Order: sequence, then C-alpha cells, then structure tokens
Amino acid sequence: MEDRPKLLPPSMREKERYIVFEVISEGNFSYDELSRSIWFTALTFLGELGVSSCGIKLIRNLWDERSKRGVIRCFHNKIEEVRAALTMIRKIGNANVLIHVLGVTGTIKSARRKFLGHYYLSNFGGENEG
Amino acid sequence: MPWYDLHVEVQKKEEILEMAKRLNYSGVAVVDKEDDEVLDGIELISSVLIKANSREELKAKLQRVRNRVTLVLVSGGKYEVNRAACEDSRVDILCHPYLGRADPGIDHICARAARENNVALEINFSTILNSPNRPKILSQIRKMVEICKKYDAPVVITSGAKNPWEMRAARDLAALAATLGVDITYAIRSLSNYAKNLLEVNRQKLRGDRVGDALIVREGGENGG
Repeated sequence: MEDRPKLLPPSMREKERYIVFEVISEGNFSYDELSRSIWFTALTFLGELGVSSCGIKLIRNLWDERSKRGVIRCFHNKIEEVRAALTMIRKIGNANVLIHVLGVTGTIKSARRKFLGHYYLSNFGGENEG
Repeated sequence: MPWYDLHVEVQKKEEILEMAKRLNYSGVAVVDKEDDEVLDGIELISSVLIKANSREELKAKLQRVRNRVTLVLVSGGKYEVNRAACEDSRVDILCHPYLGRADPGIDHICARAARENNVALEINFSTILNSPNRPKILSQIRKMVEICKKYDAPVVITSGAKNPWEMRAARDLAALAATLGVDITYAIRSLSNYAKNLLEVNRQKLRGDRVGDALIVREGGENGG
C-alpha cells in the first residue's frame, strides 16, 4: 500500500485561485526577502489562525525576476483577505515597495497566458492570439 | 473601468502621475490644488482638505472654499467637527472621523445626517498603514462601517497618501474595505462610478449648470429643455 491518501473527490478538494501580482519598487531585493516579507505581513495582519484558513502558497518557479511578477495561491473564498494583507507591505529589505495585484485566475496556465507573457501553441491560429 | 483616488496629499505632480499611471488610475484628487488638470491622460482633481477645530471655523472655511474647488474634504477626528461636517451638504467627504480617538467618531445622528446631505465617510488607508495600534484602528473602522450600513450613509475608501509609496491600486483598497465589512461591489463602485458621478455633479455645480442635486440648467429651452 502506498503511504499517502488517495486523491480526494473534486467536491472535497480545496478550490484554489491564483493571485498574480507585480512588485513596484525603487530598490533591489531578492526573492527570499520578498517571500519572507509576504509571510511576515500576512501573519501580522491575518494572524496564524487567519493564514491557516487561507491556504497561502508562494509559487517560486513562477517568479519573474525581470518583470517583477509572481503568483500566490490561495483558497477561493479568502481572496479579499489575502489581497488586503498584500496592501500592507511597504518595505522589503530597505527598499520602498508596493504590491499591485494584476488579477486572479483559476488555473496556473491562464495566469501564465494572461499576465506572465507565456505563449502556448494553442494560442496560435485561433482568434485569441496572445 | 475608470478608477479614482479621492484623497492624495502628495505635492509633487510628477510622482503622483508616475504612480497613478502604474496603478491604472484615471483620476486622482490632489489636496490643496487650485484647478482641474489633465496630464498624460490622468485627471488631477482640485480639492481642499479643511482642518477646523469648531463648527464656526468649519462653516467659515467652507464658505470661502466651496466655489473654488471640485472636491471638499474635511479632516475629522473631533466629534464637534465630524457632526458639523455630516450636517453640511457642502462637504463631499469627511476624512478619518475615527482618528485620534477610542471610538468610531460618528454616531447614528451623524450617519443619518451624512445620508441626508450626501457626505461620504472615508476609510483612510494611510492612517491604517501608519497606525501604531492597527487592531484598534481597524476595529474603529469596522464599527464605523457598521453604523454607515445601518443608516445607508455613503462610505468611500481612499489612500490618503502622504508619499507616493502609500498609494495602492483601487481594487486592492476595495479588497481591504471588504475585509472591514463593506460590501465588495459597493466598495468597487464607490471607487469608480460613484466617484465619477460625484465629480461630474460637482463640476456642473461649479459651472452653474446645476442647482442643488436635482435641477439641471439648460441653454436655449426651445425644445422644452
């Protein structure tokens, strides 16, 4: 027997959304500093209890260093709380920053297509190019 | 969707414009600005923030200012001023009535008057961000929103930014308001359509095209107006 529970039926799984954000900043910072800052602010603003029910997860490999865009996953009924927590971020390291939420999507794929400038083959040839 | 930030205290125009453009605003009300301007597709709206200590002082300042600027804000905090501002239809927005106190700063009388005179009560983002005691200020605002909801008084959320790094995108401010008890659709509308209508009505009044809130003056009149 494999040592993990079976995949839950769809109605029992958590419904997730992906918040795509852009960091507007005047100085440089590393991804680790950003992630620490987001977690710290979320914990102070929402508290441990609040964060535990939000299902926040930073998706590391979707962070784009050049355009300073990234993705946070959260549960679908806690989007406003997470967005509110993101507004409370004002500094990362010594740099003034603010986080601007670009949009919320239901899948990573559409987050990439709409906000991160990734192209899929299926986009070409149809009407909805880009 | 056109987004408006109705209270910004930054003085350097370039800084406001740059940030407003990045955050997709179509209009920003700049405190202590003389006349309306459109720069780079962003409206800079003339407004005045009145600081008063008593009802008489507020009335005198309102008299002086109302016919010059599009938007009149009153800096709240003292109950006497909050109450006087709610009871005067020349005021557009009463800013942070909860500031520097232990209670929400308004009561059912103020809320009812605000509804009647169409005075919006402001949730000021900057005061939340800079507050040394955030839980306290959040609970004050939550109570204020509850009172406003009960008596149907208008609520608006603004950044109240003192430097450009305190500005936030309109939709994010709406999300914050939603966590404080404002209906999310109402919060979004108060930042876009309601704000737009308010500015339009105020400009018509300034030009003399409109008397009061209901009567519109039209030229000609051959077709019955």
